[in-house]
Amino acid sequence: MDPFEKLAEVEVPPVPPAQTFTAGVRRKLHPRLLALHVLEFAFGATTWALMHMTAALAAAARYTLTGTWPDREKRP
Amino acid sequence: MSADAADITGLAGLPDEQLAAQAAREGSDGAAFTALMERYRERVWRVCWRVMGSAHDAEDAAQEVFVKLFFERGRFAGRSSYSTWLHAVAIRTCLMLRRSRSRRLRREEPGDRERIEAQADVNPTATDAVDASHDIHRLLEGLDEEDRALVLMRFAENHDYEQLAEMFGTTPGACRMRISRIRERLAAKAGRLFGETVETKG
Repeated sequence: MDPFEKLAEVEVPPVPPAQTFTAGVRRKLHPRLLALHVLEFAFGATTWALMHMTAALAAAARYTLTGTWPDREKRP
Repeated sequence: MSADAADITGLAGLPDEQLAAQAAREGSDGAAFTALMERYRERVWRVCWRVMGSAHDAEDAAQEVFVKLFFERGRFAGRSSYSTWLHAVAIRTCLMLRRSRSRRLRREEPGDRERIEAQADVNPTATDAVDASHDIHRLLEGLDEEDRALVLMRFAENHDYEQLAEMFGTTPGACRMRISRIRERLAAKAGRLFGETVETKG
């Protein structure tokens, strides 16, 4: 007999109960999902804030140097 | 966020591909993802148990597979059946866990790998009163992780070469060749177990 075929004779133990298994998956999944959302938010918010801050700072620098604000519509 | 039992029951009749597409649209682990988990829990458990070798590690690995599946749920492209694709995810996860475990073991006990390889190198004689399936498992421990998983999926789980090729990201011919080489390598180590087989299979 092919010795590899012996491998199929080994019984696989029964699968753990659905409730404990699913709870285990969620215990692992949720902290990672939360971390991912926090990271996404942090990067998204930082990018948004930087863009707005940069526009305001550029306008302030321009006012300091030239004494004029950009057009009223373009004001930050 | 957990899915409603009624929602999951309603999804039970959907084909895998539709269920997967619905799970990919869900923002969190909703009804479709839970239904997928329920449908494949046992099959993933079998793969994990075969590859990991213990119930504790298999449970941890199977849970890890579903966590990975959650993050990769939008990547199923439909090139193979959903079941084969999920088996591939399960195998990749188990191999990653086994590799990280053996790295950890090597750091903690530098002599451990040498001990496992030394055990695998033992050439059982005809007088050894050891069970053949135990021998073959011991021999497999001495193989590369991917080779070991390939043999287990082929012979313990009875997957055909086309499925193996999808799971291991190669071709059916390459899988066949690899298994034949593994067989030759193991036969060289344990002639008593493989001698007759190698002679008959040429």
